Amino acid sequence: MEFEFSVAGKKRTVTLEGKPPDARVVIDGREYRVDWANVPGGIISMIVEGRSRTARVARREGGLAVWVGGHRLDLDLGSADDAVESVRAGGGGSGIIKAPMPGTVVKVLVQEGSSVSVGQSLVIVEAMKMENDVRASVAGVVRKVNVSAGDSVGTTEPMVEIEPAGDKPTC
Amino acid sequence: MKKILIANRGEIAVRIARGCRDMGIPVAAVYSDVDRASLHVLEADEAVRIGPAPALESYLNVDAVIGAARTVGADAIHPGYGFLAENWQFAKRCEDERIKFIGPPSAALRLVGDKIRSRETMLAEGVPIIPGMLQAGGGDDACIAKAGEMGYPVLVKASAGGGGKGMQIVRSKGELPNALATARRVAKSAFGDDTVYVEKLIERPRHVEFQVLADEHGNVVHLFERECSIQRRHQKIVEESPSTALTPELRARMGETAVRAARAAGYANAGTVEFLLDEDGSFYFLEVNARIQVEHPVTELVTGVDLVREQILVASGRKLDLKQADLVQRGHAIECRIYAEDPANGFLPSPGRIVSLREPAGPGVRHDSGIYEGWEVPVHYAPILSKLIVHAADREAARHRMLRALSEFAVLGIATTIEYLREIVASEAFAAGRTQTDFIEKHMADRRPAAPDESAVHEALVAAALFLSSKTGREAPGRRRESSPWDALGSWSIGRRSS
Repeated sequence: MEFEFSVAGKKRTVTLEGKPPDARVVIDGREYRVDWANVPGGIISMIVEGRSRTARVARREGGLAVWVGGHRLDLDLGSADDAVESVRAGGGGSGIIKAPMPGTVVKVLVQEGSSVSVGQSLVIVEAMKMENDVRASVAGVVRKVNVSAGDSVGTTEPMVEIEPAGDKPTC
Repeated sequence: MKKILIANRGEIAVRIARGCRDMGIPVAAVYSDVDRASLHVLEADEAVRIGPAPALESYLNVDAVIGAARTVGADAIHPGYGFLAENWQFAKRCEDERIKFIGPPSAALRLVGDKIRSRETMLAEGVPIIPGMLQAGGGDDACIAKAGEMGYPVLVKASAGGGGKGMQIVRSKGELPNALATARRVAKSAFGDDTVYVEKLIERPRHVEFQVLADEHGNVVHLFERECSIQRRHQKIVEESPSTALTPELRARMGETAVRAARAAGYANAGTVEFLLDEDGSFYFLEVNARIQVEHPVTELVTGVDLVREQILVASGRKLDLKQADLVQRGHAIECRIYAEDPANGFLPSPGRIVSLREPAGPGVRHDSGIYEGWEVPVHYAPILSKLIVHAADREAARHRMLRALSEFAVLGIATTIEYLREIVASEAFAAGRTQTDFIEKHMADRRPAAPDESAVHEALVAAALFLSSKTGREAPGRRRESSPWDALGSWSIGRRSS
């Protein structure tokens, strides 16, 4: 089996062959002998060339969150470009602005037809007793505002849609 | 006491509940709608709903809290920290309703909550306060004279408003007239009032606070200091005891001053006297925190005294059986506050479901936790998840133990400050004990999250591949979105997004 991940923006390919205790994993040409067992509770016990490591893996938006041997890493699924696209709150060049975390809209700072520049604050969302500015990731004109003060928002609904000005920026 | 109602939530409510149950006293919890399944409710003997999620409608709702106490027949309320803990009107209401408020008398609470009255009380008592003109006003001559008296550097501050607007740092007599003129100009424009005053500038101070305990019979002791200088945006994140800056002589003087301050305020029960400590060993009273504090476990581990137990005993009318001469500090304790914040993303709060959790344990490790695996962190309250405290024979052993404990701590599903705290504790500056209030600004401000080392990356990749290939990986709970590519995937050949 072959998998492709991005770690810190860099593409990594991983292949997995065989079964424990003699499974083989190849990463960037380097081969590891791996013995592994699934422990109840979603935990993976791995012995990688004699090194015993416990890993916990969970899904996250755009990929996986991994905790292994005291380190926590985020892996993005797909190519580096896809990863950047999915990780950036707001959808990058498409001008679709979503909340980066669930909360309540405190104030909407723009309206349909407003001209906005990159980094301009569009909506203030309150979460965990702090107010957070949600900013424009592109310059352009606000095409649609889908929220108003007092609305509860999650991370999937577009709050503001911007018609980007000029060409789409390349990643 | 027959029954204690805990007017709080999260980790402190859990800790207090344990203290009550250690003494055989039944516990009643209160909860808002989003906290129905929170740990403090699961750990209580009884629980009463007090309102919808917003704090104003629940944990700050005095009528609801008093009503809950009546419903369960509680004869005492422990307010924890935050929320109603320092609300003197709430304490007074408890007194009027004959429910014992586990804290100071409402009059003392009212006094220490008033900064000006506190400072005046302390000044009258001979407790050192930050030198400055108590009364603002007086022309430039008065300011210049006062500055000469105090010694430089000084701060010129606007009297009519705060936020540091118009504040000028002045290092020598020659600079003062211009600084006064500038400050007046800015103050006039910002607040409509150009009155200014001068105050001594404490450079690179340490925030050192003393724990005090007073009974209702006039006995007061201090339980030594906590060093709380490591703060981000004025929020404490790492605390320890003893402080590397205190000699036994300075400790004795500050402790005696803290006791004097508590007496002057008519204080009873547990409280903390905060000081600013200058590099030359001068210290100045800041304020009294009239509550059990977040970082109280640091003191508990170093002195062996159970502060919540003492609070309950004092509130029951018992005399303190602790004598100052018998209290000692043993070993060293360090606390790290664990927040649901994302340091890689401007410390934005990170609510959500905790999908995987492994809490640190072992010798010398105490974890005051309000979380469990599967729990959904709500958006409505402060993001403190838990406190991790370690104790060891000396500071270096405690520091290593903290690093070990942090490395055992796994949380997936939300972002936390665990790795950030590890970097602080591992830093050369922390190891050397150079902890002043500018620590974060000086050592962590330009920090980029450390690039993960290659062997950790490889191990993570192996784990991810194993996860995706296994039955567990295909069925695991996690944040499944409607249009997740994983639901559309048939074969397992590639981890690319289907378009």
